[in-house]
Amino acid sequence: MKSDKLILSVLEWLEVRGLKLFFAVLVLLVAGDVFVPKEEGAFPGHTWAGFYAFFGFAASLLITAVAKGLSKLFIHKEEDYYD
Amino acid sequence: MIDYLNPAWVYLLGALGMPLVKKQRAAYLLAVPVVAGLFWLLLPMGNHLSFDFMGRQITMIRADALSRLFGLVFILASFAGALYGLHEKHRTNLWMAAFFYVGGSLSVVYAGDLITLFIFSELMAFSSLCLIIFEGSDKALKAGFRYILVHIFAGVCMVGGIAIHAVKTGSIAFDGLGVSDLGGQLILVGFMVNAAVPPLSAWLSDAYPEATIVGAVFLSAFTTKTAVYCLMRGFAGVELLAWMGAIMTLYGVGYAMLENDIRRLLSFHIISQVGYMVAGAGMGSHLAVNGAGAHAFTHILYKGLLFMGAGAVIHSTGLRKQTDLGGVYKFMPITMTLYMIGAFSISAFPLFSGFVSKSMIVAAAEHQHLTAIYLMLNIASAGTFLSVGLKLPYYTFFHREWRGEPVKEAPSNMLAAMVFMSVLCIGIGVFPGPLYALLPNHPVHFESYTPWHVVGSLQLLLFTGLGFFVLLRFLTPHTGVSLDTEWFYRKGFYYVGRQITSAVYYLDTVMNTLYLSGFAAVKRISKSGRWTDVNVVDGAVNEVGRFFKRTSEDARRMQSGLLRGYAFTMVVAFVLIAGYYLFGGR
Amino acid sequence: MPITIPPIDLLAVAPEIAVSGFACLLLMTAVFLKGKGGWVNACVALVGLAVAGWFALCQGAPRSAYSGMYAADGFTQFFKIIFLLGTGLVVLVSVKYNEEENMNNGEYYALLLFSTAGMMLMAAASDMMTLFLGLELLSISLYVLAGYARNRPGSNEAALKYFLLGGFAVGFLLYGMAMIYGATGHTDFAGIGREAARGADNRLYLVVGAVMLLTGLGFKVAAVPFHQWTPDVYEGAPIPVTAFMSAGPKAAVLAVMIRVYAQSVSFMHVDWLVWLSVLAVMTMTVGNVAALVQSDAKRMLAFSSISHAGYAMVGLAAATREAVASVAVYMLVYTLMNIAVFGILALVARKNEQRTKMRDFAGLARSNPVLAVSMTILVFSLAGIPPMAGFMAKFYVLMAAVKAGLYWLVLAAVLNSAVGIYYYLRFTVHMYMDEPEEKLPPVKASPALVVAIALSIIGVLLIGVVPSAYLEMAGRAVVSF
Repeated sequence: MKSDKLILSVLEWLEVRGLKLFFAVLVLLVAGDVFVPKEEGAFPGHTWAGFYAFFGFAASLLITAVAKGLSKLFIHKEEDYYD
Repeated sequence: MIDYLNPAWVYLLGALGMPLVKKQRAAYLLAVPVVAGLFWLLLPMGNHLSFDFMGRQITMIRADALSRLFGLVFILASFAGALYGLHEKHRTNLWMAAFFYVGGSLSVVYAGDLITLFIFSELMAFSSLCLIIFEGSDKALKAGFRYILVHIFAGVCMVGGIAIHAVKTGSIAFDGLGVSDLGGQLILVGFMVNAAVPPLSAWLSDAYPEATIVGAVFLSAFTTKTAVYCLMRGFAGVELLAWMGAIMTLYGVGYAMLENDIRRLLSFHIISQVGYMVAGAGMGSHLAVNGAGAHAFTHILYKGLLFMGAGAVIHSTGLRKQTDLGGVYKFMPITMTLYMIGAFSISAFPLFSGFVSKSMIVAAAEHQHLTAIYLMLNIASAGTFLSVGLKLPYYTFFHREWRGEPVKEAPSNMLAAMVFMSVLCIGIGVFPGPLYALLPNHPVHFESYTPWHVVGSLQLLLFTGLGFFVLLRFLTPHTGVSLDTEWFYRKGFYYVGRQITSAVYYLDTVMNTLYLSGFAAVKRISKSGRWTDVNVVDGAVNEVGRFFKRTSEDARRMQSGLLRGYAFTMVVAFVLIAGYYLFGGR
Repeated sequence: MPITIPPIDLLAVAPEIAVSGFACLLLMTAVFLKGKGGWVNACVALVGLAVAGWFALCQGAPRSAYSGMYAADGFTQFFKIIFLLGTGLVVLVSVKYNEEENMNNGEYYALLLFSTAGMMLMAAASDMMTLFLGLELLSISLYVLAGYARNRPGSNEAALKYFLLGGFAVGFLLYGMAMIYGATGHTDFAGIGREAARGADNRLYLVVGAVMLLTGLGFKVAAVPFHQWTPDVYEGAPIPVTAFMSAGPKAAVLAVMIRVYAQSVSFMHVDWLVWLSVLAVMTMTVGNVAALVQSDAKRMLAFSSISHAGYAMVGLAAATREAVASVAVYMLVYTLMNIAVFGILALVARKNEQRTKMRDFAGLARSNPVLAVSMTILVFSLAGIPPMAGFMAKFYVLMAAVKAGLYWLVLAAVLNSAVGIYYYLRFTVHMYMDEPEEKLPPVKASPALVVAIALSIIGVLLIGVVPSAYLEMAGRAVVSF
């Protein structure tokens, strides 16, 4: 099939260039945020440039920490726990 | 005549006709949703087929904006589901169950009164049970049994609630119900169970991953979204729901982080996404309710797509755990691409369908100054992308070289169904206008593509991606299960049962001891002949009792088997009741 | 003192006369049949029931007969029909089972008819003497029936236990009646009510007597804590007899309780609501919770019948006209579905083997799919799952209780039905999802049993789908209240 060849070649290209591209986009997003028009913020800091960038990164850390922490604490059980 | 064209009936009749159609089954399966779609178009707005039943007003068909919105997406989802399952077209039972299920939820959505609603939600519960247990494995049977028990509990709550509500208000119309009385509260509990609101949510993540591959695609769409419809209709603006919804989004995301089974991970994300809709219904403003409706619409499509992708992987590889999978992209690149379209949609990337619906709910929270809910919903957005958009595809499709025999790409009908869903996901993302036109509260003043929204969303998602790569080594999935509220009925129930049994044993022993000591005292007091009669008679009875106790081999769990005990209990009860009236009561 | 002979109203008691007459006829035909041709007996019994049913239907205008001892009103008529229907189904259920157990003789059917006559008398009783007469006629026949499988120790145990405890309970009842008579000088309910309303000179006797009456009736209806005989006796008695005992007599005692406690709420000027409610809740809860752990189907159904008496008592506690009508419908539905379930047990039973353990139902769906579906419909109805009649019946009772403002009682009932669903579903799970331990040939159908089960299922579905007609019928029947 043609389409799967195409997809695989795109993936190969991404494997080489993807990381650089990703970081470039990250920098552009935060830098460009300064020029984005904003409405009234819901709370202090809401309208700062890069607020959501910080928020996204912090949220991913928070979720991982809480989920893994609770799992270690008592949520995790062996596969055959209910059997 | 045109007033009676309820799309639900197409499915119910279609299910009944299923065994008759053997040769043209594939065409039949696809034709039923198409005809239903036609009915959807033709059915005029308003209440139809209203009649008086036992002094109550039954309205079988109520077509308004809200029911049309859900009706359309259910028909679309069932068409895609039928296409997806065409390779199993000869499993007549499975398809009958699936069509009864779809017909049941459409009937609920079009129901204008609570009794119709209740009857068809029971039909949904039992037909969806079939979709689970037809998988045939022992695990599926057991999960199915737990599933139906929870749903029967919900049904019982609803019946009780409806009865009380009907008596209090004299009406069984299904409109805003409110939670001011016990009736409304019980109905709310029933809906909340069906919507998988924690702590009543464990049935979903317990049962869906055990269902058949095709069944799970259907299950992901109907039960919870029908419940969302009911909440939107009956309990819009109940503040409890706004908070429960926000908690739900985080709850689902958190459990999904720990999950190894790919379909269970997606199931937790149903809970999480339904949280947005519940929150929208709870906030109750025009924008929030519109958002809940729109999100239900888009969610059904992209969640169906995700379940299709996961099902395709399981179909091809026979494996369902991230720890066993990895490197599948080489063999299934198309499945992977289509799955990623679903993943981008659920993560609310701009130009994908989730973006235009989720942002309405989030914006509504902001407008109503519910900052805490606003933040919770945003954290859940990040978490959604983290596990559905990054972790699951990473460990399923990439991560390492494929270890087993080469596998085949999914069958063409599965891919076709996924393409159908993908086109809808992107189409709605790019042109949200038609969807907005279907929403219940007119006119819709909402613009999702403002620069701030777009840039903010992209920042949130891409920096979550950055977080993912930083945290990669903590995110490796593990085997094991996560404790959830299902513990209470999978484990706790036995503890409670044992406690009750031993308490009854204890009471029984106390009774017998009391009797024996009382009896001994009486014997001591009166050794004279007046009592010998009683003793002889009673002794004989005791001996008879003992004899039969020995001969009866069954464990008499709660019964001592001794007549004296029974008689004694009766006397005690008599004394208690008589005492109450003589000394305590009137 | 001149003795006036009350006018003899033959039409009012015609059903009782017919049933008793046919019972005597059965005793005579039994002599000629010499224990053979049991189906002839069954046919005679059925004809007798049909004749009685005809008489019951043309009972005529509501009236009080035999100087106020006998009430021939719509309520009596409705219950008489229930009893005759129930006994008819039991006769159909009995044929195959009795043939296999070698007890298919005329005396059996005669006893069934005699106890039916007793039940009808009870439902019509508006005087304590009539009540006692009916109750004894019923009970003594039942004692014998419980022990009818003479060769099985279990059956003997059941009969003896039932007899001893039953005697004990009847002692309470009779003593209570004596006290009430002593305190008021009346034996008819209306007279007692009048006398009690007048003053409270003898309140002690009155109250103790009334509570004794409650104890005796509670025993007969198997209300907790007077219930403990039920599982032992139900388990030991032959299956058709258990079916009979669990349905008709329960309805008869409930009819009496309705007359005593609901017809004149002010009976004895004591507030019965508290204890009726407490008994109802205890009865439901203990019945359901104990049923959860049973491994024997008959024993489980015994506890289930206890819990059903509890639901009916919720209606009794509500004591409105509507509640009484709903209890009457409940008893009709309960009679249908419960006898049919026992009918299926009788069908599954094999010669010299009871097969009433839950695991004996494993894999029934594969060997006898129609039977499994029938059983599923019936247990769903018992569990109260729509659209079966069991749901509607429960729904009406609870609705009436809600209207009477007994919310907590309704809540307890709703929670209890949730518990109940669990053990009823166990039948379905065993039949559909378990493999049988040993391969047995499919169950052979017996025509009479099939007719009984089919009739019940049709009734259960019919009442479930169009309940209003039956409720209206019951509503008309209780107009006299």
